[in-house]
Amino acid sequence: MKFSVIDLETTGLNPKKDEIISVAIIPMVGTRILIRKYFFTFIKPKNLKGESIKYHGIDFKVLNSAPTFNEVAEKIRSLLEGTVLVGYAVQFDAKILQNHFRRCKIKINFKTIDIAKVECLLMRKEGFGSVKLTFDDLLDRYKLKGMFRHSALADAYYTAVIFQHQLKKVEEFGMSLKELIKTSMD
Amino acid sequence: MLPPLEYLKNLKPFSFLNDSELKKILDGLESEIFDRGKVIFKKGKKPVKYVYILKYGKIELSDGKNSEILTEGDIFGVASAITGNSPRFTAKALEKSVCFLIRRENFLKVFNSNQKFSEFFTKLLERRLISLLKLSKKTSGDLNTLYATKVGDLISKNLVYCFPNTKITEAAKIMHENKVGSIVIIEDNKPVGIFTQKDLIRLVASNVPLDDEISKHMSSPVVEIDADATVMDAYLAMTSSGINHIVVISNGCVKGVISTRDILLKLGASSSLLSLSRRISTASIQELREILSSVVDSIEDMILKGIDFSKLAEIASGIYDLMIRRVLEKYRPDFCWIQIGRSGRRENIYPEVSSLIIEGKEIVDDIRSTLESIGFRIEIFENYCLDEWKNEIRAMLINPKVEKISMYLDARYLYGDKELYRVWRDETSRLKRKDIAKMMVKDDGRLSTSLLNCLKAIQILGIDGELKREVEEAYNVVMDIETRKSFGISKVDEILMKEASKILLKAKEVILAYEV
Repeated sequence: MKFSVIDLETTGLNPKKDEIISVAIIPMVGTRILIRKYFFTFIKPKNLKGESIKYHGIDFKVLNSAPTFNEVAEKIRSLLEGTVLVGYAVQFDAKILQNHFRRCKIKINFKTIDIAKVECLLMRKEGFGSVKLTFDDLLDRYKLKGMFRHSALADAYYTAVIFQHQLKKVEEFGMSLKELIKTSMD
Repeated sequence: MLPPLEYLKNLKPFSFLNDSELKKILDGLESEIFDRGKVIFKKGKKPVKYVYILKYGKIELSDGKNSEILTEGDIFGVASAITGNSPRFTAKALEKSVCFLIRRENFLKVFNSNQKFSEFFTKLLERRLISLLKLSKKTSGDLNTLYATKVGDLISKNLVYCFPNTKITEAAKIMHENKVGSIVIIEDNKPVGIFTQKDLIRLVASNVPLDDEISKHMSSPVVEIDADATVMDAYLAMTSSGINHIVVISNGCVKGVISTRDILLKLGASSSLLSLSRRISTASIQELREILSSVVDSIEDMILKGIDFSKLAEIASGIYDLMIRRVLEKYRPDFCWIQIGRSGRRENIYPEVSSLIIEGKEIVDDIRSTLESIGFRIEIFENYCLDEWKNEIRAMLINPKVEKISMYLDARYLYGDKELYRVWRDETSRLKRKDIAKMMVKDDGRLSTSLLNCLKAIQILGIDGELKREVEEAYNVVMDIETRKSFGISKVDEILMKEASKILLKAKEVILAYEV
């Protein structure tokens, strides 16, 4: 099965109003992470005001010279099509992407797998209670904490590393991938 | 930056790559997780499509006979990737393991374009351990100069010379006119002696007639060095003999003279050993104490700067020899002082001395306390008179004590009656039997000790060629790493230690199978 591990940076948390300012994608085929096919781009939002974008430490100038979503939409669509989106709280990413695509007149639906939900499921199988896991909690559980500085690309990569381990565990527990996708679509 | 790229950037030999070369690696990079028991590639089967880097977990390489456990940062599959031949090992995950995979085409592109990168692997595959160690070390600043500069290039002035029958006054004039501190005395195009400013002052002070022929007062024979030798070699020769001038020879002809001053100017800080060693020949016990403590400081400094173990050991041992001789020369030389163990092999980094003594019973306690007061740690293994020695050795011919015989193999004369040494050496040489060589390699101790025992066995058995070279290199590399251990060891050091262990196994096998 093909996956697209994804991490977006946005201007805010409202998928209807806010805009994507960077996209990082790391493709996977089964447990194999295709690092060589990674994709990353900054995106120039429609409402680019210098002061308003202080998140993520991204420079105004960098965003101002970046392509618009419209310009990279086709490329991103071709990467994501036919793959399952994998990420942390990935439903948000799926929604905001869908909205962006719709504005470009591209209709697309995503299947998603949320690594936090997968982890909860695995923990239940291992006999632990279910808890809410932050991305940092997940990094901690896979001994990846403190190894890097956060950036969209690094976060996407470590999401892939976590998912690679999770896929093995899923296999060991005799669970099916479908079960995961369904779970994360709830 | 993508985390795996950042990781590779700091992993030797990928750290040798520039940005565009790293990009080529990245363009072929994948990551895979392997279950416990999963065979990644198989000995004798299809050539590999990837070069692997173990990121997490444990992988075993095995050729069916020997096996090796890989740990984080180890690179495997390289030989098959380079040659396109079947793997010589089977790689199997011993626990759940994550690897980076580099597609073979991408690896080869970089392998063929970056010499340092490819050398790292070829040296490893050819077990050229010493070159590998050099490649991985960053020798800093002035020590680089020491290795990189040829003695010939250090000569700044034309050769100033005279002949054996030149009068002292005449020689002094020549030196003055040429503004040099030394003059070489030449006969039949060969250097026969050297005369320095210091010699001149000594002669004037002791009222020697200055119209004497210079040959009567020159230092002879001279210490020579080839123009192609490195400044390191000159440094070595000067520290260990405590001299100030060395004559540089090229194609059998004298090319010039270099002095300690020339080297001091070139080197700065790390040449302090040179100036220290020059003071030894006239030093008092109190001064020796001060010199020794400075010597140890300088040596630790040189370890940190990454100088080779074997060179450093040679320098340090040379200086310790000079100091011990300075103490011993106060006694009548009717005894014989022999260095054994590390001191015998000229491998002392620190002032720890092991000795054997012949006919020195009355003076040994006195000498020991003097050396200890200077700062030496001294271990005197045996102190017999010659007849006792003969009995000891004869007893050992019947009932050999392998450890002692091994110790005698390191023996080296340091001071005293040379005839005593010759007799002792002839007696002990009867102990070097081939059956004992085999007994030597049976014990398992530290890696360095085992390699050393192998070397000794190889020497006794007269085995020559590739195996001998490999064991020698392995031994030197392991000693180098052990010397630096307290300052931390690197991934390359770990690889080197592993390779050295493999060489040890092979050598033991050959030695034990040797037909006596």
